[in-house]
Parts: sequence; structure tokens; C-alpha cells
Amino acid sequence: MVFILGVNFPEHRFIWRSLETFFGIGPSTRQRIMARFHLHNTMKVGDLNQTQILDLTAHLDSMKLENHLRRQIQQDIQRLRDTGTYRGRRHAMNLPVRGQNTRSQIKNARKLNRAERF
Amino acid sequence: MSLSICADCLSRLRISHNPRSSLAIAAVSLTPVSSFHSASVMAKNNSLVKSKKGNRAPESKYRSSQSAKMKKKTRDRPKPPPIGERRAQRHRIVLSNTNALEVPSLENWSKENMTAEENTGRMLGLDGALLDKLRDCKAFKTTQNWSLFRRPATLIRSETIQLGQEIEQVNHSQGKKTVRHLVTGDKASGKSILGLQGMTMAFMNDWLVFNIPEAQEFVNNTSSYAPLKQKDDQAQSEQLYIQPHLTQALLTRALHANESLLKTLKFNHEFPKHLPLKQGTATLKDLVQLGASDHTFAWPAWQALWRELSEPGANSRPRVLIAVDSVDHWMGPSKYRSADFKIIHAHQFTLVRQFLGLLFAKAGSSPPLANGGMLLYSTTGSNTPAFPSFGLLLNQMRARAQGLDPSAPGFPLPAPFSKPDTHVLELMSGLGDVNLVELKGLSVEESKGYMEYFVRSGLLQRPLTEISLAEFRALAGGGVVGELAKLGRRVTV
Repeated sequence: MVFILGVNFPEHRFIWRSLETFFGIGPSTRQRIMARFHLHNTMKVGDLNQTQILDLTAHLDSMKLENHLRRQIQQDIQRLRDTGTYRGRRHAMNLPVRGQNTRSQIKNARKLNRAERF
Repeated sequence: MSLSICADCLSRLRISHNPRSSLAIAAVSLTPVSSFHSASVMAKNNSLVKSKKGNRAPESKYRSSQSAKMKKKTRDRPKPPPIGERRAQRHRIVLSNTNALEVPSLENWSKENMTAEENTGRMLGLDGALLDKLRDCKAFKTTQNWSLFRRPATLIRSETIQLGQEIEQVNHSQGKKTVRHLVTGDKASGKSILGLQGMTMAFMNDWLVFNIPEAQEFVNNTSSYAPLKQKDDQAQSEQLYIQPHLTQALLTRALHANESLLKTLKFNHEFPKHLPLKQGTATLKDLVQLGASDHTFAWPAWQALWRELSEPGANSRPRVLIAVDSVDHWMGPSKYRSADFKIIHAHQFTLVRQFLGLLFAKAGSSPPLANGGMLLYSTTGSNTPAFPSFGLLLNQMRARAQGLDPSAPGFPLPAPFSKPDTHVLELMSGLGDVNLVELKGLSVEESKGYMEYFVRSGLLQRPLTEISLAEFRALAGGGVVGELAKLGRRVTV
């Protein structure tokens, strides 16, 4: 097991796959992180040496990920609402924010566009 | 309720121009015959018969769930094979097939009959020690048909003889003669096999052989890489990268294939101090072994080895053959990215740069090998990447081979307003000594010898006549050897 940013990963797992498990890292960010530390595509978590693990963890630490990122999204919505913008109001009312029609298909908006979103 | 006609094919509707027969058909067609019709009258009747006999279970008043009646079957999951098994299966090289007939008059290919021209168009067998060496340096490929015959044998074609003669010339020359070949040709035209034959002949003559069986591995981002630390005076030039695991693999192949030869070679130059080797007694074999055992030592070990082989010294050095297959992959950007997420060009990898520098050596540069040898690089026909600059390079080589001067008007040049690959364009200055070997289809004589071998191994079970041979050659695109082999193994009833 290899410990990266507070999570244990089995050694046989691909690094790209492990990185993409974090909230806030998708394929594009992952490619950039891997290129930064010269990790090739088929590298497994077990192939990392200790310094590489430390570097990687330090870099991930410096990024806004997981709960930090979720909180920031929260705050952004809160700010919109507090300043009384149209977008903030739409969030507060659980309605689409970007000008979609509201006649039928707004299920996702109802679910997601909340001021208190988790 | 079932329909009285089939909804899929409307089988009751028959259109007939014969009014007399239409009545008879209409009477018959009430009972459709095929069982897949959605509205089978026969099926309907069957259900009636069954209900009359009382075979069906009495229908319950209420609908009950079916799942309670069904037993849960425990599913036996087959155990997956152990780790590495499937990959080993995929890469397995089978060189013999006991079902094939033995070919009684099969001669062995050896140093004595290496360049005998009367062998053109004949199959010659490969024997034990040589086979092990070829296997160790990964000269055989899974795409080749070695597993069809009782024992491995190879077709001697005119290009093979020519290659053998050049190897003999290098052997007899006193200077540092280096022959450079770039082998191209269509898919399945025998490029990799020519590389294998070159390696075989090199082993026969006790040459040192370095083989890169798949150049694509160097560029497809599946192996470790690291930036090379550069000295201050090189700071302006572009960043280079080393590939420790691929270097280790190269050294491993070289170690196993050339072990007996490497054992006899002593150090000529200053002993590399940072490598843990025994001072004084160490041979080049120890150096290669060190690199092969640990990837962190692979690159310095390769550098030290290359210095020993390329710079002349007190002890004489053997001739060297370097074989690289599917070299086109080295002629463009790679799949690797640098730390600032820029695409790394294939020529930024140290080994790639070194091997290409050997082939396309600039005029006036020092000879690459201490005691001469051969560089045998081949392109790929089945997995060709689209690198137009390399196509241009090949066209220039063809034009040169036809005697066209680079300043002549018809000489191929980059298209105006196109953006050719500057790295590849740089190679064009070193085209002078490179010989382009274009493999075409086999000659009639060679194809005859090849197909006869299939007949005598029991694969092709019909006599080979002039007509059938001409047919085979026509079907195989004018005697393309891989296509002939496919026709030879095809079962004909």
C-alpha cells in the first residue's frame, strides 16, 4: 500500500487512476501532474520511489482538492447569493442558472443548484 | 393472440404469376414451416394439444413471483491465470512444431555457406547455439511463422547474399569500415527477417550485436524517463532525456546474446569510477551485467560501454552490428511530455539520438565504431506512423540512389509553406553514406524455393507447378514473401 495525500492505494494500481480518484483532478490535470514528475503512462503506484511519493504528495498538497475545492465552490455560490446577483438568486431557488428553459427538464438543476450544496 | 401471418416476413403472402398453382400454394401456406416465425400456427396447435392432455401445471389464481421457484445457481468463476502468464503467452516464441514434416535435405546455414550464391532461393536451417543467441537478442517476432515448421529455417534471398558479402568485406577490411543500411518495403516484405538474417550472420562472424526489436517502445510513453543533467556549456541546447529501463533492457539483450564475446574484452579506457566494478579484473561483461541488473546504473554503464566500443585503444574491439526495427517511430514527436507539459521529440531521447546519429552521420565526423561494423535499421510497414518529413527523407534517399543531384530541379524538397520537422530535416545532411535497401517481392526462383518448403513440410498439400506458382505469386502481390507464406499455410480442401 502506498500513502498519497492521506489515501492508501494498492501497489498494482495505475498512477493515473489513483490520481483521478481525487475530487478536482481529471484527465487533463492528471496528465500535467504526471509530466511534471516525469511519470510515464503505464506506471503503477508501486513503482514510485520514496522521493517521488513525497514530491507528488507535496504537489497535491499545494493544490486545492477534495474538501477545500468543495468549500470554495460553496463559497462562490454563497457570494453570488449574498451580492444579490441573478445567478445567486437562481441558485437559492434551485433553478437553472444559465438561462435554460424551465418548462420540463430541470431535474438536475433542482438537485444541484442549491445554496447549501453538498 | 397470435397473428395468423408472420409479422416479420409476411409468409402467407405469396406472389405468383401462375394462376393455377396459386390456389395450391394458398392451401399449403397456412402452416408455415420454419420455426422462427413469430406467429407459428404449428406452435399454437402444440399448446392446444398440451393443454388437452393436462401436462401443464394448473394455473394459480394469483400471480406469484418467479424468483422464489428459481434456484440460485452458484457461478463458478474460472480462476484467472497467475500474473504475467498471459503476457508470457502473448510474447511466447515457438520455434518448432512436431506436427510438421521434417524436411530431410535441409542444410544448416553456417559461416562457410554464408554468401554462397547458389543458395539463393533455398531454405537453410538455423542450428542450436545460434538460435539461443537470436532468441536472447529478441530477433524473432510473434508475427513470423516459425511455429509452423519442424525446425527454424530461413529463405536466402538475393538481398541476404548481398548483406553477407558486405559483412565479409567489413571483416576483411583493415580500416574502420561501417556499412549503413536503411531497409524499407511494403508490409510483410521481409524487413524484420532481413534484420534477423543480418544478426545471424553477425553472430556467425563473432560480431557484437545490439538489437532494438521495437523502436516504438522508446516513444509511446510506456517506460520510465528522466531529464539528463546538462553541463553548463550545453545549457543553451535542448533538454535531453534518458530512459533507464529501456537502456537496461538493451543491455540485458546484449549481455545474453554476446556473453562469451564480452567476457574476453578488457577495458581500454579510464575505468568508470562511479560504477561499482572490481578494478583491474573487470571485463566489459561485468560492465554490461551491472547495467542489466540495475536500471539506475544502466545509462552510465551504456555510456562507458559505448566509449569502449567507439574509441580505439590498446585492446582490439570486435565488429559491431546494430539492428533497429520500425525506425519510423523515431521520426516525430513522442507521446512523452516534459515537466512544463511540452511534447518531447523522439530525438530528445539520448539513445534514439545516439542511434540515429550513427546512421545519419554527418560527413567528416569521426567513424562511429572502433573497428567498423554494420548498422541495419528497418522501417515498419504495418504500424507506420504518419510522419511526412520522414517520407520526404526516404524520397530524397531514393532520388540519390537514382543518381539525382541534390541541387537538381527534380530533387524532392519540403513543400513550400509546410512545416517540416526540423529534427528530421537535420538528418538530411547525413544521407550521403546511407544505403537504402528497398525490399520488393521475391523473384520467381526464390518464391519457388519458398513454396516448395511449404510443400515438403506438409503444409501445402498440392503439387507445386509453374501455373500454381504463378497463381500464388499473383495473389501475393508479385511475390511479397509474407503474403506467400499466408497462402502456403492456407488449408485447401
